[in-house]
Amino acid sequence: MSRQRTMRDTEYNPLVYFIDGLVTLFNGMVVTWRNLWRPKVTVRYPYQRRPVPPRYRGLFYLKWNEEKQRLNCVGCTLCAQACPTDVISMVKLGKGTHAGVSEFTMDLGRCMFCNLCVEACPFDAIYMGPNYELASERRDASLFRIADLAQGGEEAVRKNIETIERLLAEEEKAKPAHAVHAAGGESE
Amino acid sequence: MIEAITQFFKQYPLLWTFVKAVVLASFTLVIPLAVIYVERKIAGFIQSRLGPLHVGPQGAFQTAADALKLLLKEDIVPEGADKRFFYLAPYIAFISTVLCFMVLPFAPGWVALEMNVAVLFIIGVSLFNVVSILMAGWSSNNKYSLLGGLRAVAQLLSYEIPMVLSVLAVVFYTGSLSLTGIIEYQVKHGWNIWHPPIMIAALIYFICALAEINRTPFDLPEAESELVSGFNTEYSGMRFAFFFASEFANNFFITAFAAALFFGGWDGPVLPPIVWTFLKVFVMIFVFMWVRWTPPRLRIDQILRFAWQLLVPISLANLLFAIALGVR
Repeated sequence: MSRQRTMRDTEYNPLVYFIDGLVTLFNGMVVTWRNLWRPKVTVRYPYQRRPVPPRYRGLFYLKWNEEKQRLNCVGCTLCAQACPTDVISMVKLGKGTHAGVSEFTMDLGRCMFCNLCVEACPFDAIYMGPNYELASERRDASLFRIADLAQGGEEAVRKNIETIERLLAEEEKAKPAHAVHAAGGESE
Repeated sequence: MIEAITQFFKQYPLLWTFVKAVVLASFTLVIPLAVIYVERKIAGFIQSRLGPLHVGPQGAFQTAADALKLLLKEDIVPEGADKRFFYLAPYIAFISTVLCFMVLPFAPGWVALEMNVAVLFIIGVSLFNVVSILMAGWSSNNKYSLLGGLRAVAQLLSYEIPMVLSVLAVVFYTGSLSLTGIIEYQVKHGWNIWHPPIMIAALIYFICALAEINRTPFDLPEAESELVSGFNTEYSGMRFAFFFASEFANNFFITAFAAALFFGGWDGPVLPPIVWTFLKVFVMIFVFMWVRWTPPRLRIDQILRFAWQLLVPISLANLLFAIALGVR
């Protein structure tokens, strides 16, 4: 490496400085020339997309349980309680072992995608998915209803309510005596 | 076909002059579109980007779209501006560029005005650009514009001297002040660039040309990090477009001038002369842009010291060298 030369040097020699400058310019131009032919890093976004990493925190989804033919969510509101910005509200459907939700609304205008609701959920019901294109021209587009969130959409929500109501009805039928007993016990 | 058209117009000298003026003015307006597109593409490629891509094939119409946008934008005049000069400055810049193109031969016979002192004329007229920059900077009523304008004047005047001296070396060497004469000399005797004094002159010309068109190592007049955007800070819309167009047309012109002086102008085998002119010009424009996107910019005192302490003495010595070798 040559000694650092600056314009303030007392023994400044313009010719040496000039040749030095030309050499460094040439070195720099070699670098930019190589760059000219290197593959470009641009991703032409609307036409091309980067792969989304598996733990990406995008739009939420409610997990569909194929085996039980219902959503995993039981409407316990732990996620709503964990949420610092009060994004989540839900309507519980039934109670006991077969409880679920009929309505699950998230206002993502307030959401900061902190993942706390996902961590709070003990039933593996709510997750964050790979969809990050949530911008819209409508103001109410930040409001996501259960059909927008559930895996499988409207169909899944319908089946979910069907299954839970069927199970609740079966439970009701199977234990009339118990129910009376329980009711009596409660009133005591 | 072209012959027939020129023959027709030559019967009416006034009309012919008017046609040439219109063609030149529109050429000066259109060529920046191409040069800016090339510049943005090269800038993108050097920075591992793709550059403009979506308007037209490979983004070719992007600059045209930008120009259209600038024409439609609001024209803002700052309060306290010296309105007359503020209005006038961009057009003076543009006119100086058009005047330069006027005497530039693109191919044998393809010159708007055959002038036997074309080199002198170009040197004189291109300095109008400095006037327009000073006018813009002064009349904007903005300290950044003023500083940019003053810097531009200091820089352009300093670099004009070694540039003129190196051009003078060519003039002495070829014994002609007419651009057509210089090119014809090169057609006969080989390109000037192969002769030692002219080689040095070409190097000095190249450096000075970078400074004249405010390209990066010397782009102090519009140093963004210090001066917002220099003398054209307060300009918007149409007027800004004119400054921009004249800057890039100047870029084209200064390389075309270099091609005529050092690289034989339209001279070249196989291809028609006009193609050779444009080929040489665009190769040189590429080199200019390549340099532009490589080094960082210098400080104003470094720039002026470089011009006065180094370029002026070297170009003077080189001029003597050229005279000694060239005079017959």
